[in-house]
Amino acid sequence: MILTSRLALFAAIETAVNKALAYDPATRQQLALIDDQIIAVRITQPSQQLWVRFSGDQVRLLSHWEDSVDASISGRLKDFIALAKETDKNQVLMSSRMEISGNTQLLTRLQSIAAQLDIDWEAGIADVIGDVPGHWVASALKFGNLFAKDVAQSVDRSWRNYWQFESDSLINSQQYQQTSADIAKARFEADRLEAKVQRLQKRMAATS
Amino acid sequence: MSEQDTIDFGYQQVPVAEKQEKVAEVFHSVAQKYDIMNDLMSGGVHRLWKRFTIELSGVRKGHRVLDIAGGTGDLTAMFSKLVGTQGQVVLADINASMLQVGRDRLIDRGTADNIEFVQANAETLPFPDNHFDCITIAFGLRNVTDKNKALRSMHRVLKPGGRLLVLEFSKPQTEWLSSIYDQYSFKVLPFMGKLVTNDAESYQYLAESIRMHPDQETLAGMMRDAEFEAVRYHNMTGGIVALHRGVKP
Repeated sequence: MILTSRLALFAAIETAVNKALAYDPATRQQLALIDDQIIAVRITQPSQQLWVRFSGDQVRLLSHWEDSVDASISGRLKDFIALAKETDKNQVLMSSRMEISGNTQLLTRLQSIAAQLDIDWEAGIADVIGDVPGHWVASALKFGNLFAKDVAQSVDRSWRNYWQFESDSLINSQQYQQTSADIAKARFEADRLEAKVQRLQKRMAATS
Repeated sequence: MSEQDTIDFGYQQVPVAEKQEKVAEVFHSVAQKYDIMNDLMSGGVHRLWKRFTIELSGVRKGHRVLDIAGGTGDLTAMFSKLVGTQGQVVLADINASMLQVGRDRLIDRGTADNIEFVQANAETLPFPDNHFDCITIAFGLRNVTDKNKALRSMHRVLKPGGRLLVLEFSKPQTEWLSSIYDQYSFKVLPFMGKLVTNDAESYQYLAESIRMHPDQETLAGMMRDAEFEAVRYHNMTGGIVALHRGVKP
């Protein structure tokens, strides 16, 4: 039953992804160029494995694959989430403990495809509920999204101000960077001083 | 008539020479509504079983695939996309009506470029030795008169290193599932068959033929006897269906 449920879940995700990609012809064209490539994705915490196959201009999710793959990527679930969310994917790959093997060019290419992903949600909604209501809903969603982002930024700013200036519990990022730089400089000077002392001790031991 | 001269057709014993004709009658009768009935009977889960078959096939661009008892062409359509224009898929079925429905459907979907349609008996496959990278037979082996002969025939036409995948109804792995499944098969299926295809007998045969089909271990043994190696099976939906895989050495 577990196998059947897993297959059902993968089929549902795959259908949703390909339906969304139907509204991004440029991405589908790019995917067609990596046709028949297979990537193994191994999540270490929690332990899960799946394979992504590019077939024509579509994406297939496989629950099982016993043959060779073109590239593989492994890491913790939170690393994969960060990779999906962050715009600077290279930074995530370098800073996390993700492991990559095989054809890295394929992964670089995928990274660039993902960066240019531009799904026309408005067309998707319009196909379901009609052009005019679709446009209204899409506009409302865009407005809602901007409003939510604005509110979130405002709340974030207010909290930060409160913690930094009102309660004096936090320092701001400039202060943090300055303090970090001062600590690094002090550590560097202490190391030099220690080296000088050791050299002097050696010299004194040699002359006595 | 001696015991060797007869063979099971569901729960009945019929002369060996007649089984093929009787199975053909069943499929002529249900061919037009075959897909609807599959979706109704399995609640659409047959698509997941077939999806797993594709995953285990390891088929890539340029491969040559034989889909025996391919019927209405579900697997063939998926393989056709995977092998691309450099590859080839042969949809074979002993039953002309099923083959006709499959061919019409695939042509209508525009997926017939790299597909050949062949009316063939699984026991005497009309293909050269060492010809295919992968052979599948989905829900077809239990209808074959001489299963051992069919497995040997598949072994012959498979390339060394090629895979045979047998997707077939099997034995549920728990008692409670088995009893629910029995009730469903013998009461609900014939009723659905009567309602949709106006043919309860064909679906009565389906339920009986499933019970008469070798269980997981027996079929694995038959595949080893036919000289397949690395024979393994995966139970799906509690063992209602099993996917057997063997490799030609």
